[in-house]
Amino acid sequence: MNFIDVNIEQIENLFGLAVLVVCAAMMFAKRTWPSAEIRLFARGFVGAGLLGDSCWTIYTFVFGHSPQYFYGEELAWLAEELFLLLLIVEVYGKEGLSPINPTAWIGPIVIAALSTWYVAVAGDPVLNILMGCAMSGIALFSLSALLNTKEDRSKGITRHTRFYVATVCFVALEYILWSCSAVDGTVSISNPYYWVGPLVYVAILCITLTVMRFKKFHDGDGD
Amino acid sequence: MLYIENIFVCLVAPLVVLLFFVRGPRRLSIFGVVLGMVACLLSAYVSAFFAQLYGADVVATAAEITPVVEEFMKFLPVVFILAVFDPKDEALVSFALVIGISFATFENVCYLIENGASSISLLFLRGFGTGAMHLACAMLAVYGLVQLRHTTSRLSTRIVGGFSMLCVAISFHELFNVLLAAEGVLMYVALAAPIVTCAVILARRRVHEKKRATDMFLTEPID
Repeated sequence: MNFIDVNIEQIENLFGLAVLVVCAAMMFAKRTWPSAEIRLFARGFVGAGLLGDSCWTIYTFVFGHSPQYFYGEELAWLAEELFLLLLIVEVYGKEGLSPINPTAWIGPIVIAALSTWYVAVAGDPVLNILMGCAMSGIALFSLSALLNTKEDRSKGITRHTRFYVATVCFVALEYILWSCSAVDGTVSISNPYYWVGPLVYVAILCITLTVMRFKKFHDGDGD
Repeated sequence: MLYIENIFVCLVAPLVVLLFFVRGPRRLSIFGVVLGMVACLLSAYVSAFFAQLYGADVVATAAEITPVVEEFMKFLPVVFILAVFDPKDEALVSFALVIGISFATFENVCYLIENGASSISLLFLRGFGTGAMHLACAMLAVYGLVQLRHTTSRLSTRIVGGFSMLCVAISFHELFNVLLAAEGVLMYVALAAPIVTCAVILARRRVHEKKRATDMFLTEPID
């Protein structure tokens, strides 16, 4: 293993790992949760992300390149997105159900278009479709919650707005990241991929901080 | 050449005979042992297929392909038992752990035949390390299923959550295999990590059982 000749990818991975360790510590230290489901899904979200990133980072240090053949780490990231989707659906339901805003469908449409492009450029249809479905769900519920804020407030439903803003930012940054990687695959500091990557981890930290504010779901507990 | 099918027949035959002579929960346990070995045999075929398909060498197969295949194969019988028989939590957890351990045992027998039994220290570490790793992965997956069963009644949430827990178990297994491939200190970290994980889970379980017993004692009416 070589810790001396680290490249920009490994630096970015180590930064992400440090952020995820902090997020996991916060999530697993939090004692009061609105419900057992929200606790399970929130901890699953950061736990899966931490495991996937640990695996990827250690792999690059041990073998000197990223995984080439199969889906081990990507499955952990898929689990991360699925847990986030389950968390959003649970929070949305606990706050109070309201119809999905039709404008929110723009998120899944854009994601579908980008996923099609990724499959054409990089192949790997299975993982792209699965991740696209998870991210579409996250985008749909988050955007709908944000677009319906005023209408929901008039019905007495209060949304955790900052939580939904953080999740929309997470989805947007992930797709900017993957688009950069589809355009430019070089491992160099001039590749925008390695500037957007840390922002994704900042978005995960923001999601964690908003989840830390969750208490019991009463009227007026949203923000 | 390793005649894995012959080893399988030799190990499983007495267990199959025993199935005809036992009744009740013990029969399920012995059936679990047989299924674990079947899962190990099938994993070898499927891993070899994907290794051939992608042109991966032995190290890359062990690090990237094998964890995905093995965890998936171990998960299938557990999901089948859960879907068809809906057993109690304790029975489901025991069944999953038996599958994990019998998988590890068959794997170790094949390892012994291929590499010999001369180095006691290496075999000690391998025996406990691999066994604990398969146990830890089985526990991750099955405890996730049990938690989902208790926290949510929605089938879609259980399916998505169960799949996510399987992905987490796959990543844990992959992390173990990557650390093992590193050699040196990291190899010993890999072998120790599952043992520590199992010890922590066992300690948590004991504390939880003690707390439950104390709560029952305190709430029992005094005559």
